[in-house]
Amino acid sequence: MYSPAFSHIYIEKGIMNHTESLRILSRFPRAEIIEIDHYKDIFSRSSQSFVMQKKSPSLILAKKQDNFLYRGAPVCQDFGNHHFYYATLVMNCIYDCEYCYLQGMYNSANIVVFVNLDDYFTQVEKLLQKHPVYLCISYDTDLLALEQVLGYVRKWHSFAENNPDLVIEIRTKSANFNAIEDLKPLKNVILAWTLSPETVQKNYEHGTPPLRQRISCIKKALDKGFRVRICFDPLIYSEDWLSSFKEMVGMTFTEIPADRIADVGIGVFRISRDYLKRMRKNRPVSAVTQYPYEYDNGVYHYGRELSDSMISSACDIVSEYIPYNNIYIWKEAESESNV
Amino acid sequence: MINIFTALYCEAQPIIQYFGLKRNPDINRFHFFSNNGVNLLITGTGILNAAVGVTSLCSFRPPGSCDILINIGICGTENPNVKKGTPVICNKIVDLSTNKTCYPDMLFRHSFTEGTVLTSPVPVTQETSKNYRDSGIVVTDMEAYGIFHAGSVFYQPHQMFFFKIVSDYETGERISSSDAAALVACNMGRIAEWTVQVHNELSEEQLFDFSDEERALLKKASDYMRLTVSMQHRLNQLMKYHKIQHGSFAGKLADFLDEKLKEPCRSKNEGKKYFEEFRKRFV
Repeated sequence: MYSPAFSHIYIEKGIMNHTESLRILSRFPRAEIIEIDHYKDIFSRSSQSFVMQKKSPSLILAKKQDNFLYRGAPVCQDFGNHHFYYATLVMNCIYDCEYCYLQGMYNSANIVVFVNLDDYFTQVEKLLQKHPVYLCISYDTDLLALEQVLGYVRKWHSFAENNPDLVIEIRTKSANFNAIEDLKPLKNVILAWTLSPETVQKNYEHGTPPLRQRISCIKKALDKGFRVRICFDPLIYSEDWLSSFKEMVGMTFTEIPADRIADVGIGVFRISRDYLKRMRKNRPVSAVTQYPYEYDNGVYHYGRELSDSMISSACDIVSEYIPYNNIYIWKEAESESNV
Repeated sequence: MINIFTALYCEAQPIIQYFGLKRNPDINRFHFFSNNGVNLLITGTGILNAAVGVTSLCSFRPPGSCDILINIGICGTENPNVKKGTPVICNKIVDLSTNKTCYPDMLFRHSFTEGTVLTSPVPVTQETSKNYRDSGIVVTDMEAYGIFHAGSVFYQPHQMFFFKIVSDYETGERISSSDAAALVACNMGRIAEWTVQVHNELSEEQLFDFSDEERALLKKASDYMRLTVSMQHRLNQLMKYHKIQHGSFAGKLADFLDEKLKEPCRSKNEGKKYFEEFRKRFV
C-alpha cells in the first residue's frame, strides 16, 4: 500500500541545477519531483506523523545556509578528542530504530540532503587553520547506508586525505562497506559500527542489517586496513540484556581480531525529556519508548543504579578482549570518561 | 471515518449514489450526507466556504488518527496534454491570492496522475493572471487550499487527499451540472476503491489503552498508596511498560493489592515504600 522510499523528491528551486542535485535526481528517474521554496516548508510542517512517514520517506534536497558545524553535545562521546564537532550533512536516516533520538528531534521522517558540500569543506578548512578538528559526519543520519545514492563518504574521504589535521568519524549500522571498499585506508578516517544484540536488532532496529552482516563488514574493513571503532551504544535494557550482550560481544570478537580495533564506545540509552515526550507519542506500544525511565537534569535514563550496573557489566565483558584504555564509556550526569 | 468534501451538489451526487449516503440534518447551513463509515459535506465554492465547511463537520464529528479527509471536485488546466476527465491527485496546493503553499503527504501507492493545484479566488480563464510556473502538471480550483488549511487543524498531512478531475482548459467555457456529475461519476469507482484501501490501512494503526478493569485497579492502587499526581503518572507509565512487555496485568495487580495493600496506607511516606516495592515487582 505504501509508496517506495524516495518515490517523491522535494527540491529547493534554487538548487534545481546544482551538480549534486542533478546527480542525485538521476538515481531516481521515476520519482515525482516537487519544487519547493525552502526545505523547511515541507520538513518543518506541524503535526506530521514521523511513524507514518517512516513507511514511505521522501527525499528533500536543500542548500544549507549556515551552521555548518556544531560543537559536540555533552550526551555524545568525544573519544578523548578536544576539538570535537559534528556536521549535519543529512537530516534523518533510512533505518527506523525505535530508540532513535531523531524521532524526538525532528517533526518529519523525510530525509533532507544538503547538496552544498563545498561550503562545509570551506568551514572545516577555516577551523583547521586554528586547531586540529575531530568531526563526526554521520550523527543525524547513516551516511554509509546512503552511499550508493549520495557518495558523500567518498567525498569526505578525499577531503580528509588532503587535510591530515582533520579526523572524521563515520558512524553506521549499515552493511554497505562494499560501496567504499576501493578507497585507500587513512589514519584520519574512522569507520564506526554500532553493534546491537540480535534481539535488539530484530525488535527495535527496523530495516537495519543483522549483526552478522555488520560484523562481516567490520572484518572486511579491517582486512583492507581501515581504522575501525565499535560502538555498543545505546545499551537497551531488558530482563535478558546481559546474556544477549555477552553473546554479541563473544560473536563479534570471535570473528574480528580485537587487537586491530581502534577503540570501543559503550553507553546506556539516555534521552532528553522533550525528545522522549515526542517519541512516546509517536510509538505508544514500543517497550523502548514506554520504559519508566528516571529523570534528572533534563535527561531520562535507566536510573543511576541500573545504568551503572549495565555499564560496569558491559565494560567487564568487553575488557576481556579490548584493553581498558581503549574503552570509552558514557555515564549519566557526567561526560564521557576513559575507563 | 471517511470525510468527503465537495464544493457543489453536482460533484457530490455521484459520491452520494456510490456510497448510498442519506441526507443528515445534523449540521445547519450545509448539505450533509452520511452513512455508517462515510460523511459528505457540500461546502459551496471558494476558499472561505471550504474552510468553514471542513471546520463545521470536523467540529461536529472530530476525526481520529485513522480517519481520512477527501476533497473531490472538478478543475481546469492549461495543459492540453491532460485529457478531460483525468483525475489528478495533488501533492502541492498553492493559494493564488497569498502565494502560500501547503503539501499533503504522499505516502500511499496509487495509479493517478500527480500534480499541483492552484486555488484561485475567482474562476480561472485565459484572462486570469496566475503568476505561477511549475514544470509538472498544474490544475486550478477554488477550494483545495481552504480545505487543507482548515483540515490541518484536525488531520495530519498524510490523512488528507485531494482529487481534482479535469473539466476544462481554462478558456472560459461553461460546464453544465450534468457534465460535472458525469466527470466525477466516471472516476468514482477508482477513487473510492483506493480511498477505502487507504482508510483500512490507517485503521490498523496500533493504539495503547488500559482496560476498564486495569484502570480501576490502578486507581485503587494509587488511592491506597496515597500517590501524588506525579507519582500517579509514574505508576501509569510503569504499568504501560509492563503491559507492552507481558500483556494484561489485572490479575498480578489484584494479587499485589491483596497481598500487600489490604487497606490504605496511613501516610504518604508509607505509600512511598509500597510504591518502591511495586516498582521492583513490575519492572
